[in-house]
Amino acid sequence: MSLETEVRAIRLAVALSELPGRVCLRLAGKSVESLLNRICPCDLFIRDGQMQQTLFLNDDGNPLADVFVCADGEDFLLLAEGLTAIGLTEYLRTSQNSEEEIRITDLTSDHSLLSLNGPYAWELLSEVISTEIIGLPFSAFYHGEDFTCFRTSATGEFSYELLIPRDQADKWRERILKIGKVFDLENVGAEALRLCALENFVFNIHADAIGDVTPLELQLQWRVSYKKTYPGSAALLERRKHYTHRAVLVAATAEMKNGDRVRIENRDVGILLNTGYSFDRKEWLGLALVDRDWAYSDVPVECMPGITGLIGLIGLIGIIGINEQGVTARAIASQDMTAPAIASPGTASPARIISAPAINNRSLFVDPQRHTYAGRGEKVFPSLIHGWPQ
Amino acid sequence: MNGIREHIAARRVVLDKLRGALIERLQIDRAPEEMDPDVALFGSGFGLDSLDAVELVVFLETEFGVKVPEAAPYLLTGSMRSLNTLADLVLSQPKADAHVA
Repeated sequence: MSLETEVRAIRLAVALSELPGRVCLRLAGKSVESLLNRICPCDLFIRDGQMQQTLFLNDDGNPLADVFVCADGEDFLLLAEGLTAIGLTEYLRTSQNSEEEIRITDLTSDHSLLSLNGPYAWELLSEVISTEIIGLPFSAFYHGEDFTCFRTSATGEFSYELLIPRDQADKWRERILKIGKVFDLENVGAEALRLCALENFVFNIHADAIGDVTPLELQLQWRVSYKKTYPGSAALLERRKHYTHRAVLVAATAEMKNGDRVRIENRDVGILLNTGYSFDRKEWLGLALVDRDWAYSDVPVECMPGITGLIGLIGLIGIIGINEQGVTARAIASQDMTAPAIASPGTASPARIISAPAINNRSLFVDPQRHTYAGRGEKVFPSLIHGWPQ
Repeated sequence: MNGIREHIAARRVVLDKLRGALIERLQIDRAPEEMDPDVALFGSGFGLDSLDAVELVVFLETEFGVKVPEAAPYLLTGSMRSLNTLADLVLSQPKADAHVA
């Protein structure tokens, strides 16, 4: 199966994937809420059955984990990516006061996480589980008899994650695949999910959090508060005064690669962090850190082959490390130091900064109360590429 | 290059007005500089709802003269994704220059 087929399933039908990098912890004990309030950069406002998306930061304000905090009765669940279960537990324990009583259970040690994405994911799941799923709001979850279903956002489409006991995972997978046949369900891998996240400007901690970047550069300020104290808050407050770059989407007809330079007026103004080909747009897309003075949609830029290895690292630091904080050890440690330090001369290719998201998601126009996958041909949906008549 | 700078200046004006509308009309408790332009307006991100969408439509029409074709309401849906896609919509309107100037 091709990558394009996988992306099409996510964009137009339903796609099944496993989430091996995802961790789910259960936190219990009377001190959990105060601990979470202390380490979450956002103000936590969640009721039982609700989820709130946040980040766990290091002291420099760099994202370590992309986290959903889920209120589950008197307990909390953490659905996280970016840290292992051990790393996440360690992060929590480090932030815990000695008098606080908190029990941490790694649910992913004996559970699997299956993910369903696509404009008809709700319909498939309603047949696999129950029609109750249709009423599950975004950022909410519920427990079934032998599963927990989270409604998340990974690709801009309807997105659900199922936490199921590992010894039942095969049974669940088979059932989903069997019912999924009439939905043209495809198994998709991490690369298809990465591309769809990129198209939708959904934060991908593995691909986007490169080097010394913080929520300020990554357009993730909505996930942080400047009015509370948490790991990284002091660094963010300081950096807020003088941060220089913003992550934006860049589109081009010519291939772009991670590490390519973004140029305006014959000088470097940015660097591409995360690139891929958009099959629907029929062009290359990249998440680029661009000088904030130029980081505006519709600005024409040029992309030049980048420099890999040590010189590339120095270039990256030169671009994103221009601040009084200097460059952290993490920035250095996170780079690939094994690639050869060879500059690619190459030629400049025209590109432009575009508005996010880059896809007019079908899920915006599919109404679970009125539409079905079988009847999809009876309705004319808008193009996946948005645009306004000129 | 002056064209690029003029374009950036025009977009900044629109983005600033849109941020102001979110703060004043929709009570988003954020400083303008905290409102990143590519963040989702609905669902995650700024967390707007359908009532906010109606308010935004009214604002777009009164402030920028944006008219949604009756036959194609989906065009608006596709534009109400982020501050930047709203700005795209505003800047694509024939009257946008007059309003922005």
